[in-house]
Amino acid sequence: MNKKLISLAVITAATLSAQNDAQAATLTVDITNLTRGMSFTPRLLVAHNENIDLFEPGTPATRALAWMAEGGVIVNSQNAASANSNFEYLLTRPENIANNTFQAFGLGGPPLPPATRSNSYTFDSQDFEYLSLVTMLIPTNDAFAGLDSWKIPTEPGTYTVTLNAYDSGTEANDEINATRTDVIEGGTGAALGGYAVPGMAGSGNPNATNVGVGGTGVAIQIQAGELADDAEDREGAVHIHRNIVGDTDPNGGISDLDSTVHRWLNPVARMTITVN
Amino acid sequence: MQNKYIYLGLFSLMLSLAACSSSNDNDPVEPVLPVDPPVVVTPPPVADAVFNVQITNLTNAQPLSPVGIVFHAQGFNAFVDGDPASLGIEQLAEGGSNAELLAEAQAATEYLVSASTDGPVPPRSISDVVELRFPSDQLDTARLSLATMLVHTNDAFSALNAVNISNMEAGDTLEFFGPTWDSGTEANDELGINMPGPDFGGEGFNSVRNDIFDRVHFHQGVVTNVSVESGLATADLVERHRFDNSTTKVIVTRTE
Repeated sequence: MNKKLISLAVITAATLSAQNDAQAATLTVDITNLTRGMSFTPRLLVAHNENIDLFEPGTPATRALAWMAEGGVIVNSQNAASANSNFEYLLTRPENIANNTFQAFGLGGPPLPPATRSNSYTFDSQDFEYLSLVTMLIPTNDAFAGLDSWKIPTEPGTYTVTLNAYDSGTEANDEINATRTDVIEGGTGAALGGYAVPGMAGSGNPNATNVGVGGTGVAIQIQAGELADDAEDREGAVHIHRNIVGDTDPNGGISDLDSTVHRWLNPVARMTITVN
Repeated sequence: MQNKYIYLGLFSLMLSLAACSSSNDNDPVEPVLPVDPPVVVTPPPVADAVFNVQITNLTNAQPLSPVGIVFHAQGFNAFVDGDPASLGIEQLAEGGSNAELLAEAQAATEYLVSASTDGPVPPRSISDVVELRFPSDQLDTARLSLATMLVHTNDAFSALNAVNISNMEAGDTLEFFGPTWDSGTEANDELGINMPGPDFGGEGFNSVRNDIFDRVHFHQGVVTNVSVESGLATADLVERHRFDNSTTKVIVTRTE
């Protein structure tokens, strides 16, 4: 009846010996967006040891993961309101700071468009053994592409990995365009979009093409102009995203996404990682 | 053990024959049978290789039936893509029982050890750790297979099909992602009366094979009643039952 994750405990044992011969490595990384209709928000690249996990399928998301998956926010400069709960905050906490090194790529630029390969990122992984990456898929409620604790090879060379799309489990998949003014959050009256609010962040981004209006809601429905994302409507834990539904009516139907544009199947991204 | 005694016996017989013939080239000699009792050699005990297996259910609303886990030698396959499913796979994929599947594995010459999770693995959760062990001298060709039904479907299952774990040393951890197959044994009508589990409680296993074709193949995903354009209006499956690959994540750790 041991509900505890075995992976961490065992990896700890396995890595004690390996730590000595781990070498500081400079990585050259790029990421290709393999989807037809999703764009990627700024990419968070983290090298870390066994004490940190950006996300773990089957367990609830951290607030930092929710900020990333719901709003594409990873660092303070993107959104001041996130300063006490985003990944920049989490990864620099006293108990975590010695366990990782991280860098955000693509800040200030447009999201990485569909079917596009990014620039090369140069990243010093120091002597950490694992590499993780997260980036939000927009326009969605809380979908993200994730690389989960990939073991950095000690052998120099170029490696290829593919990434699946996960659902952070922190927001119901309403598929409602967050720029709509005919809908407000139930209870609060807040505008849609972003962290802890219904609606798809990034709906208004120029790279998030073909987002419609007039949908009535997919996993939850609009009632009298209000959209309420109650706790029981959220999935509650990180898991593989079941894909968007969409429809073919840009001015109505159930979804503001287009089923002929925005759907995907895993994998959604490819990374090439060169260990120098 | 029996075989080893016989080998040793033959070996001493051959030695004695050789000795006789070389020293008495011209004399007819009756072969002398060895009189020594067979040499009893107690082989050093072979330590067990011990593995912990843990399964994460990556789906949103598909409980996983008790996971059948088998370690076996290379050469055994619980199922083959494009071939008709065994009765064990059919019973697992339609009704969620792994008993027949494990019995089929146990009957195979390549069988090493098997186990099941204590119960189903709920959506978005991680199973208990299952420990399995087999003699470490069998590790060279050892493979891991496991299978579990996506319960809110007609006959979908997530599996690992003979993945190679033979290089694992004590302390090593490997991670595998299980894709989703259709057993090909039951039509995907997505009707509650034909799907078991907490959401429907319908029929599980039925020996009639009425899928489009009777072959194991990759699942194309459930259609559900969610979408007017591309949906199945009669389906009892709804939006939240949908899934994409992978449907399971498997962490294998060799502890000893």
